[in-house]
Amino acid sequence: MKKSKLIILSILSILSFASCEKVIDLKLDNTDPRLVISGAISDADSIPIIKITQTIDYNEPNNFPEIQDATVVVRDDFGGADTFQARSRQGYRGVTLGVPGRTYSLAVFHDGKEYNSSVKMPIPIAIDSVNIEAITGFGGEELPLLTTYFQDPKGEKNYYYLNYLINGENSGDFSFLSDDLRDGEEIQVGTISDDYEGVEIGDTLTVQLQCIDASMYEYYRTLEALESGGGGGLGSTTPDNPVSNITGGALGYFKVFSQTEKDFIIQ
Amino acid sequence: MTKKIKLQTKKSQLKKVVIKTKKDNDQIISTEMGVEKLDMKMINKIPVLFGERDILKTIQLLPGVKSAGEGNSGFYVRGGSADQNLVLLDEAPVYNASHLLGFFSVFNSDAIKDVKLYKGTAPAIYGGRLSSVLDVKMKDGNNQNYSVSGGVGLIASRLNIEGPIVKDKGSFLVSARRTYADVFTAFSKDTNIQKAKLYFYDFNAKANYKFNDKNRIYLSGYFGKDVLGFGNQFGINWGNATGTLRWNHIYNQKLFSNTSLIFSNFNYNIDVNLGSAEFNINSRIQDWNLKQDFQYFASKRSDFKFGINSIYHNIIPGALSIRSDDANFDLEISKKYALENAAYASHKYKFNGAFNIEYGLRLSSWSNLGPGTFYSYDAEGNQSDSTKRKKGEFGKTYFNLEPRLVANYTIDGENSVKASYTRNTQNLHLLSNSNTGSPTDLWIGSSNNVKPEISDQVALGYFRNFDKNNYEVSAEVYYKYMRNQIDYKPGAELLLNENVESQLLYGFGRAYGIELFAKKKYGRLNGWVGYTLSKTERKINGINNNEFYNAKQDRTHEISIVGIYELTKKLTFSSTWIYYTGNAITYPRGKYTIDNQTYFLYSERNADRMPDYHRLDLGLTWTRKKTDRKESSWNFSIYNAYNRANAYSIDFQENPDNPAQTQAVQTTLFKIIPSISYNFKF
Repeated sequence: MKKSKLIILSILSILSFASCEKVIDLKLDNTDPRLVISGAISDADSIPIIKITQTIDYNEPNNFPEIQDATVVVRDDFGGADTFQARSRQGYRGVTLGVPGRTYSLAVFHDGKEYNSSVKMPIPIAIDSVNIEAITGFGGEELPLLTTYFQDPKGEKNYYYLNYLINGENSGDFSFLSDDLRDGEEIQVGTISDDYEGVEIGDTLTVQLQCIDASMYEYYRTLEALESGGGGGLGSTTPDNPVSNITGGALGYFKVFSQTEKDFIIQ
Repeated sequence: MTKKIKLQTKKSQLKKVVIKTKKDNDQIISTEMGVEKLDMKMINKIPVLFGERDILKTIQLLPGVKSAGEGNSGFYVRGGSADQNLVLLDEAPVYNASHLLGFFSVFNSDAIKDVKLYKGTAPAIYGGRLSSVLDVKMKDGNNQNYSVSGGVGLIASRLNIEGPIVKDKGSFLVSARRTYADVFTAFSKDTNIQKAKLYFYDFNAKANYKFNDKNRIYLSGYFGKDVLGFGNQFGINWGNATGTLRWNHIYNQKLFSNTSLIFSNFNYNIDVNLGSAEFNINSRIQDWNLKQDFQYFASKRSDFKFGINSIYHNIIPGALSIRSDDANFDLEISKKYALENAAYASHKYKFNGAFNIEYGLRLSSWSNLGPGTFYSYDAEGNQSDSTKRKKGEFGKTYFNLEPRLVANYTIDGENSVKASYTRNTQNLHLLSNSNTGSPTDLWIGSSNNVKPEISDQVALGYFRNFDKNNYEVSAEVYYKYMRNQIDYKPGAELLLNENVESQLLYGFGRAYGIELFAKKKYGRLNGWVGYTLSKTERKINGINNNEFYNAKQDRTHEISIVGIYELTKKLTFSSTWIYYTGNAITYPRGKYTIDNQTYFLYSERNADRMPDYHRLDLGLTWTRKKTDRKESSWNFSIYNAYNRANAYSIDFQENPDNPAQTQAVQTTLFKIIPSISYNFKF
């Protein structure tokens, strides 16, 4: 639909000979700063980091104040407690290595307020294969589609986040999906992105298949659905903040995931 | 009603007879309140975008009626949303009354006889929508002579043929229209736009035949389609079809009957062809509607109307099919069936002296019908219950009583006060992800989760005529309270979602305002000035901390001025000017960072305003030739004559010169647009 609206607007603007864009000066009201919490616990062998920053006013330059005087604790349902330590410019670091099936609870205390989240780590699912397949673009040209295959377990709700790396570095591209309407099937996820421009023969593409929970999926879904909205014009939606799985009025997310990965070498 | 009135010339040598069916001071003495009637001759003189005359854009110039946006044919009445208007074409509901995503309406003014808008109390014969009734009637066709009329415009051409089937007994009319906006795409430098297809067409047809003095049959239909495509890879088309078969029977001098069988359909179809795979999505809403109306004239003072109405709704919310070389995939959201019934009675009575009233009662019901699985959802949107029902089995049923009352106290022939109360209910709700509406918006019925929308409106008005009814002025105040209003969770998924009802939030709405109107009816200069001061708010559980917020169509001030001046017999000049407070909108209040990306922070819903909107349009009609049979005229118009850059949308983005800063970019859709069209009749 996005494309169709664009075409209609383009044609109508050709007819009007004079549609235009200009930068305008808007006085926007300020709002009380809110806490922004983002962090993850996983079964992957990496140091868990929780970042805490604050929102700033619309007119300010993009220097986001880091919050360093919060208390950050992650507990599991087996009695483990991990108090995260603040590191300048690097967020809060802990030591928890996640175990699939356990539930992890985040508690952040700051300025007399408490923010909480509790998420169960899903069971990991292995990638069956990663391939490059061809797809026909709108201009009739053949485009490469990086495709990942894996088997969805039947009888339960599953949510996935796929992270793509180029030679071990984050490519910027990602996908996320639920098994809605595909429960128990072999799932095929294709991605096509400008992020792969410049990839050459011999480069390694890595797909990380992260199993996430419903609340994290909802965060990604609403973030994407709301990001393109706003403006008030044709096809715009009412803008809002994405749905956070942290209580207490914080923005952001507490992501608890299990991960498997597979490489694909370009030939 | 039984008088034989011929509104057209009988033979060319006879003089034209004009018979007035209404008194000149009708607005003073009638029990109608918040009712606007539009004269098609006037509509044809008012300048509009691209010179395409349009009744939906003209009604937006009336107080209490707001445009859905720049160049848009959608409208809001007294704080209602766009789907709360019942739009009828010869009694058939039109589910999507716009072409090209709202820039043109489905009503080809060549085929339209008259238009009536009820923004306050609609008589009990109408029901099913909360805020207004727009009753559009198609022309019957000339039953004396054949005539061909039409027009050639900047983006569309029209052709209209009418004539007698049997002289004095029956007539027909066929009207067609096609746009050619896509011709311009060939001139675009952008190869993507060159490949684009974009047009719409529509047909209106009507025939009537009088068997004898007591029986008359009318058959009318509409069919329209929009086509939007991009090479062979992408296509979407959508359109309405309606059909009405009406039997008009006169039992005796006092009792009349109208029996109608009405069909209505709206559907869309999306095709995507990627070579290796083909995708198709389609959706439809279809109605069969049987209506029996009686009118009984008990005496000169007393007039009754009563009847019944039964509508069978059949909705395909969405079906997806994917065909590829190695796999096929089909997904169909469960079809929905419902039965909507109503019985009504109303009575108009004139007391001795200056007092007269019209009151009525409508009993409406809505029943979900099987086959299907009916789900219930808890407050979090999780399925809490489901019931399977067989074909024809009744599910959740709602009954509602809708009383209406209008009282008129005529102080003298030039002064009156009126008061009204109306309850309306609505069981079909339009879900839209977009602020402006789109063909893929979804109609859903009341269900276990979605309750009927109910509105209560009270209005009070003062009406005054001057100078032998040449000038009409009026002031109306209204207050409207709306229950079971629907809004969406953030990022709600509406397309192809079996659990779409889990994405909804519910609450209240309230709207109040004052509408001032002054009109000059006769003479070389005529026109009107309207002013509306209003407030429209909503309070939805789960939005804006459950506090009242401005509805997007909340516009504090709205002014419209329409003037038509006959310079000479052949030249008519017209002009409109409108002003309104910008729509309520949510601007970012701050920003934050996550994963090295910057995001905007939003707080209060719709607490900000788009810039004020104002625009002047000018029109000139030059009638070259005018006899009884032949007519030709040129119409010149200028949209946005003083080239105001009105905000169509405002987007926030990174400042390209300084990525650490953010800037607001305003898009203006239509600056000054001249257009020309040629109209003929022979």
